[in-house]
Amino acid sequence: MNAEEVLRVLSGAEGIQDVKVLSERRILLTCSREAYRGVVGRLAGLGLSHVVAITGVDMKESIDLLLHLGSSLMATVRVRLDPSDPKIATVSDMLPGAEMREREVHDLLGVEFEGHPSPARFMVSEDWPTGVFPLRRSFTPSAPEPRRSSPQ
Amino acid sequence: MSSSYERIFDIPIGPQHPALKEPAMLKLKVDGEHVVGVDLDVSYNHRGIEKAAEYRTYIQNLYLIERICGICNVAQTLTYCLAVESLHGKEIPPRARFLRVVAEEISRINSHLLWLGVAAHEIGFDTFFMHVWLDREITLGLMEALSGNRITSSYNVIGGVRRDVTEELLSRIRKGLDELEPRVKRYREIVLNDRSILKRTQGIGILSPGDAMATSAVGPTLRASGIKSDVRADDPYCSHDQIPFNVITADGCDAHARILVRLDEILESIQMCRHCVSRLPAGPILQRLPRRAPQGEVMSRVEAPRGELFHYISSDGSDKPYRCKVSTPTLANLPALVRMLTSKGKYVVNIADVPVILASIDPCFSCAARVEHSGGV
Amino acid sequence: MGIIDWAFRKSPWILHFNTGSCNGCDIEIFAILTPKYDVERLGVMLKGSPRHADVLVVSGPVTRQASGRILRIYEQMPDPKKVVAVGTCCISGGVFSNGGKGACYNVYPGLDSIVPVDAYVPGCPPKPEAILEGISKVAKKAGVD
Repeated sequence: MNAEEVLRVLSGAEGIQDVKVLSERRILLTCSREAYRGVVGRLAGLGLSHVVAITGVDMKESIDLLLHLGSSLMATVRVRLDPSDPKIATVSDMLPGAEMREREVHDLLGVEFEGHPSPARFMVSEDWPTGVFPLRRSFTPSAPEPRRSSPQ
Repeated sequence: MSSSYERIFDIPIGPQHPALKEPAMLKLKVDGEHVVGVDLDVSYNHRGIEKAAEYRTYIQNLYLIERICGICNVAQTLTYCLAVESLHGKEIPPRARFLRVVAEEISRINSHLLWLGVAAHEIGFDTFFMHVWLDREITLGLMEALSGNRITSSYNVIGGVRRDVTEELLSRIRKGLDELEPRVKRYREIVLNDRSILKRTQGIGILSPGDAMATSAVGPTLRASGIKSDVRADDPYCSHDQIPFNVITADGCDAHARILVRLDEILESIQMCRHCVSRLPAGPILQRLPRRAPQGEVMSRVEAPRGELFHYISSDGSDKPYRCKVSTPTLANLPALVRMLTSKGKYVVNIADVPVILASIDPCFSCAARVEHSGGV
Repeated sequence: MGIIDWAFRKSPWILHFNTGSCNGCDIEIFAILTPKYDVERLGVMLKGSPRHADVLVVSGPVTRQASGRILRIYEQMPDPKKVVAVGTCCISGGVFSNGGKGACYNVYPGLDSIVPVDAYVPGCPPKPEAILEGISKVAKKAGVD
């Protein structure tokens, strides 16, 4: 399978806003939130069902969710979400490999995955305040307060 | 009081436990001796590296990224350097590409031997563990000669490699590989014939090819279920398209098959190192690149010892990355681990087999939680 | 010197805890237990339970989630007890704390902000010989202070 084949299959699909071929084995598709599940399903049907990673990026005006699917070719599906309401349907029922990765993005960036089977906390510590998402641009990292004063 | 629910108990393992080398917590749900469910907590290793990477320059990040995982640090820096280089749109000199493969394969041998020792320890065969770790010192010696440090090598830098090799060093590498090869072949024989290893690993931790594909498992875990998939072959980087090698698979789908795949990969890596060392092109080892990276986003993939390692870098044109995402093989293998531990009645998973099953995916929680934490799962 | 201090000096049993390390230091700690360095000849033994251990060997930057656990493990160890911090991350937070500039939000600036530390072994990772030296130094200190 090559990039042209993927482009041909997806050219008529609904909800696709932009398609870019980054290099020989990298494609970047941008689609709407509503079309996300449909596009992922079509790619999975082409054999791109291996979840390489899910990346969340806070672009300030939007929160971008990037689903990287790959075999020898790697296709990335990009969805722009509204930062005030970052919600999207889960794909972990179609691609079980996405389950832990969605939990990671949920913990660190605050994206809600609707219909996720176990949205419990996974990455952040148990005393981490709820509603604080470290990968948002508005979060400034600082080391935690020492639990005892250093001996001098 | 009714039904079978009260028969199910929770057993926590970790975070400090003799069977775990890293802090992680497994909550096993058991019915008598049989595991029926599992819940994982990897937050002990979460350090916040992905966020911290946004506050450091590309060069500083090289040393931060390296410390995601001490065992596969060569693969981590390699993936990061490949990403930054493709952001610049530059190729590195051929000599540097070959030297990167040498460092990568030596670290793969080191990682697999380390894992073999740990697996032997979990099986309860400590003599084997000690022998393997003694031979592992050979690869650590080679790494020290090549890069200057035993573990954290900082060998890959943006644009090439940090140190050149001399004829003397190349012959030392050849000698080390010659010493190692018969030992690994002997271990392979032991793994194939020793009764205690066979009894503790055959038919344990079964992952069917269908489950392996569905859960997006990677690396030796996937290949031990008979699926031919290796980033070095599928999506070649460095000079992997010029270096002949076989993708090793096994069709046992169990912990025993995972041991064999890794042992055969060591032998394959020894051949690849020999090939690189004997055909090393002449020329420079470093291509200097500017401090600021052009705007854009890139993704790079590398076959780390544990499986596919992925980096995503988004640049806004400054000297610091806008976003740096790391996805590690252990996280990819966690859903597969959960399938191995919860058989859903198809076969029996005993509590006593849990350490072997856990070890069989070669978990590295410092990679998995890194990232934003560190990981390895 | 009482019998307890004498036993501590002759055979310091160690407990290893990883508080979020990259594994670099951990594998060097395990390397000292394997044939090339073999610390058992010196009476050093790795134990699995804090209640049997004299020396707590800690590696890695202390993460938020691990900080409570390291405190609990320290409290579970019987007196006299010593703590060895292995690696730069464990001493100061190292590359993760970066002197406070863009520090990792989940990493404490050093193990001594959680529990008292008796010996610091710098390096990234320290060589096995250095870790051995650190353990022998705390063993020699037994009964002195």
